[in-house]
Amino acid sequence: MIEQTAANLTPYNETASPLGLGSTTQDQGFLLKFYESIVDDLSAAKRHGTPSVDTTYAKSSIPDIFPNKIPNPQETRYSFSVLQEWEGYVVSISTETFTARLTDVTRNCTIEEEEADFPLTDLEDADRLRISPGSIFRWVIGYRRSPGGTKDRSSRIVFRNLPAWTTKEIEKNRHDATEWASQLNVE
Amino acid sequence: MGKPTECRMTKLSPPNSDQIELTLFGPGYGECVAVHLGENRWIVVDSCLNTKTGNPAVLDYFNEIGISPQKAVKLIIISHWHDDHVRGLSEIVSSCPKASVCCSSALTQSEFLSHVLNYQNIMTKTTSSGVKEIEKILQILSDPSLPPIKRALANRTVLDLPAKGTANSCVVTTLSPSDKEYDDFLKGIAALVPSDKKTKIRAPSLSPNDAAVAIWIKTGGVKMLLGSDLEEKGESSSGWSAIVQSEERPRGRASIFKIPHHGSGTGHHDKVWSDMMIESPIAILSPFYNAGKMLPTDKDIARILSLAPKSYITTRYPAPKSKKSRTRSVERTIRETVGKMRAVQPPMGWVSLRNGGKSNPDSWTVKLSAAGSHLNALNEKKG
Repeated sequence: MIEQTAANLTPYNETASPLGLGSTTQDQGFLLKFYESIVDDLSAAKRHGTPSVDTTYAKSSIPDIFPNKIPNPQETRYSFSVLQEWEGYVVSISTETFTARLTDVTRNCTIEEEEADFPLTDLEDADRLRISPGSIFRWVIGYRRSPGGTKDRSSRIVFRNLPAWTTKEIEKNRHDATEWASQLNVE
Repeated sequence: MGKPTECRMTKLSPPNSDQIELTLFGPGYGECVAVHLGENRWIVVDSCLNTKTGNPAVLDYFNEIGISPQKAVKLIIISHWHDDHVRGLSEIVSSCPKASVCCSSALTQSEFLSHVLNYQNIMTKTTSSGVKEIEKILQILSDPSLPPIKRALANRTVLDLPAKGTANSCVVTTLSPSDKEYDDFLKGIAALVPSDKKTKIRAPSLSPNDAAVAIWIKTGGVKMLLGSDLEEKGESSSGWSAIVQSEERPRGRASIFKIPHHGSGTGHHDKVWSDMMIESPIAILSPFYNAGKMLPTDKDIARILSLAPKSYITTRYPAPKSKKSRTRSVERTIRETVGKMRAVQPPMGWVSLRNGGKSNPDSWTVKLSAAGSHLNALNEKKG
């Protein structure tokens, strides 16, 4: 577990494929949102008297994933250290919980070996509305440090805003499927 | 048919050239059946992973008993398309380039292929798309140098082997899907076409499994019924009702039954037992775990044992708690958030049936892995 501050922030490596993600614009955007969501927000920072706060991003178990926002070392306040991370997908949803299967990203697992029931109340309101079987999310557990040095354990679930389907893509797939069907050698 | 001899395997060996063998593996993100038809001629149905090695269970088994899949496997039957049920199947297909591949015709139609293309690229390398295996298989089968894909349909012969050496002739017939199931499957797939601007998700699995392929195998005097995951919907034109009522289905009564759909009530049909099986056949099944629930249920176990006292299951262990050790802080947070984490699958097991060869075709030996057991053991465990 390594705590990353602005002083030793690693530049973003555009060629890396961190955390099993492709180095796409969507993935960079997701990572930005993901780590922002687990660090105290700007309004909380303002209450502490800092005019602006640049968030710092914790280094996860897989390196070289930092977006290009290099924070001002003078204004660094919050940090998050990841202890454990999973990628999961929803299997089923009941009235109070959803069940998900989880792949241990921290241990570089390639298959979902664990399963758990999560309370729906733990989700952001927007995520509760759009969750469905097959939805993919990240679950991270770690330590959050405030500017004053206080430390608390944090558990966050963030649903991935994967790229949406477009009409153009669906139509292209329909066309490609017709061609593919004609190429299959069926008795 | 007398009582089968049961034994636990410590060392695996291949069957004799005249022996019939049926081995069921599971669970392991699916289940898999390997059938020896004599003279080193094998068929494989679906796939699951050996949860210890991460390899397709049947390939590990072939390796253990010294069988070369490239030469020995004559037919691979695909009765599921979703990753959760056929992990490792693409590796089996690519390891057996001379084998014919048989699947529901619906899986070769443009509607289904469109579905595969829609869900194949969900932009995450960690989670499987749900269509990864079938996509790879269909890409492999696009090679024109490979044998053509055989279509599984009701009452269609997909393999007809002549007698060879000490082995009898053999006929493998698919009993499903029916025309209605074919149509229902494509309708179900059409309902999964994503809408514009919808966030990509992992491909959901269809239930019931309208692409399920029930199989009838006849070799010499031995008949076997492999029930796949075929479910009964109470309609005469689909499920087990369609098969039982068909005048064109193969005649005779099977002595071996791979019970459909993990022993569930939806896979049961009284007339399958009364019209297609001998009295007290040998029955085998693998359990299924999903969201903490297990098939077969207690009710299913009681029903199966009343019909087939000689029933065996590939693993008697429930899905255990996750055994991964983590730091105390992480363990505490897990407990606070979700309580307990479960392992998705218990250790994979297998049940293997071998007959006495040509001289004693009705005498069966049941071999069990460390996890496998008589179905009664599940009742005893809960008692």
